[in-house]
Amino acid sequence: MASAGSGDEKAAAAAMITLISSDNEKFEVTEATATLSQTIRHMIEDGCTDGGVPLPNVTSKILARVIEYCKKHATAAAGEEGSSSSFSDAAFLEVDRAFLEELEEFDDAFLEVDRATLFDLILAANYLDIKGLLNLTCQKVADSVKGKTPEQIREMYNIVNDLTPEEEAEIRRETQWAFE
Amino acid sequence: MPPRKRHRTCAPAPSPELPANLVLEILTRSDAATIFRCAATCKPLRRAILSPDFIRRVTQGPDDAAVPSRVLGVLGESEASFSLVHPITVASLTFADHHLAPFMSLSAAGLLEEYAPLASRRGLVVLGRRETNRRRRPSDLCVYDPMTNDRTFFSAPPDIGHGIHTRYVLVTAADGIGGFMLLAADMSRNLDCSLRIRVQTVYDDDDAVVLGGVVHWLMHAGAGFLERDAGASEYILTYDVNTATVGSIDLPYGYQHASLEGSGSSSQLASSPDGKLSLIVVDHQTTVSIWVLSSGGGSCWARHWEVDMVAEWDFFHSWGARALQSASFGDQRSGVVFLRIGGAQGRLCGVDMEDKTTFLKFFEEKTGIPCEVDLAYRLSSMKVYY
Repeated sequence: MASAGSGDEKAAAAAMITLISSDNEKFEVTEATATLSQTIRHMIEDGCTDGGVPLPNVTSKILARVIEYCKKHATAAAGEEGSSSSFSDAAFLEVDRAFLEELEEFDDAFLEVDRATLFDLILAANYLDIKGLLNLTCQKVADSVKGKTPEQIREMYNIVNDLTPEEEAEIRRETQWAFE
Repeated sequence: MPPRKRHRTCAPAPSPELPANLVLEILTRSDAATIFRCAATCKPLRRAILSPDFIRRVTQGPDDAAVPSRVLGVLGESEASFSLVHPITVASLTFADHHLAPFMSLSAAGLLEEYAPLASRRGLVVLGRRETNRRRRPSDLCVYDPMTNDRTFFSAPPDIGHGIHTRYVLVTAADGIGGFMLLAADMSRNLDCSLRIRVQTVYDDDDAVVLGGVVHWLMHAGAGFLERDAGASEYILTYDVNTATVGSIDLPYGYQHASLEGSGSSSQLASSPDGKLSLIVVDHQTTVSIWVLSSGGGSCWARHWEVDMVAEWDFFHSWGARALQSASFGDQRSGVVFLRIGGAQGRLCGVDMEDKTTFLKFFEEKTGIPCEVDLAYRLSSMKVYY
């Protein structure tokens, strides 16, 4: 899993960027993959990526997953651009649809992780400013919170209940409909 | 904002794993019930959810905003039900069908067996005892909140009868007064056609529009005992709740005795999305015009929009639709006015005042009264704990 960055023949000519995780592991990725992160895109634009990009907030385990996501979605973006002129509209739509389905399957499989990993992915997506990944992971958590009681939500987020029983009763009274 | 106190025993942030801004990021992708429940988990998260910025973000987003800002539905006449009318979005369907309606039928079935809805404003409903006898009882009337199941009982107003001249208005906390106030106005006329108005604090009417604590009634000619001066057809009667003063507003100059008998015209008052008094006139049966009263100094009407429904909907007549009628869906803040379509049962014609668009709704006609729930207001009026 940690050997991300290899096998992207298509981008052989493209510039490579080295990302360094908090536990000092190095990941070689193409610029196309790395720039899905707005944070890294800005660093590249500012020319401060020589000698690698240290990411002190992201562990190697999480960074590997993030890179896996970026690679898939970077290829998807490149594929879309490349194919637009060479197919007729119908054929293009067909390819497009297959592509989107594949991407969706990838995303679903990608989200099959425990809650702690999911939260770490959200933190990383937020820090690296990867819009698609942030949306994907936040939606996953949002879906799992739906229908939960306040008590269950506290447990999910490790929230300490600092409301007095009186305050809780008052809140419950004004929000009856949401408690069923 | 008062200074934040941090208790050592409390969690410093909503979650040691996710900072508040990311928890909120997640919540914008959930639904209204989840957001209200999360506001019941702990003080810091509650504060974050109830901040004006977040409320704006979840209620005023595009069509897929997690919390519908305002939901308009119909409260069943004979049973505890809430049928969504507008807007039809995933968020409002989830709220109405999966939360409010089941909650109501669970909590208020007995109440609505005994009481019938009379009118509703700003999410509160006035109920009247179904079985009436001559004796007044302290529980003749009830103000009911479908969201909390709160009930406040009243006796019928002592010297104002239940006659056709009695108009009822509910003024709520959302109008800027504490709690709510029920007004009963006796508008019967004396034999000389002078109007005798008595106001008592009691209950509600849905063709009155309340803006900034001022109640506006559209007064029709012929409402009096003696019908004579048809030329003086209509005007707007106002009553300021805060100062207890009565006033009047003339109707637009260009709008002349449209309500004269036989012309098939009808009119109703409404509020524009930005809280200005509006007059909706249906003329020549299918033409709808909207007038808006400019606030400030001299009151001045301007024609906001005029639309011919037949031109707009070429199949209009093919459903057997005849004239449009005001549906008294007037005092709704969503900026959408509904008109019933005569001859076409179960269809409402909606006019969006803001976008100047029209739409037609197929609506499972249930007898009942329109009821608008203002979720954005509910959120912003919830108590913040420190």
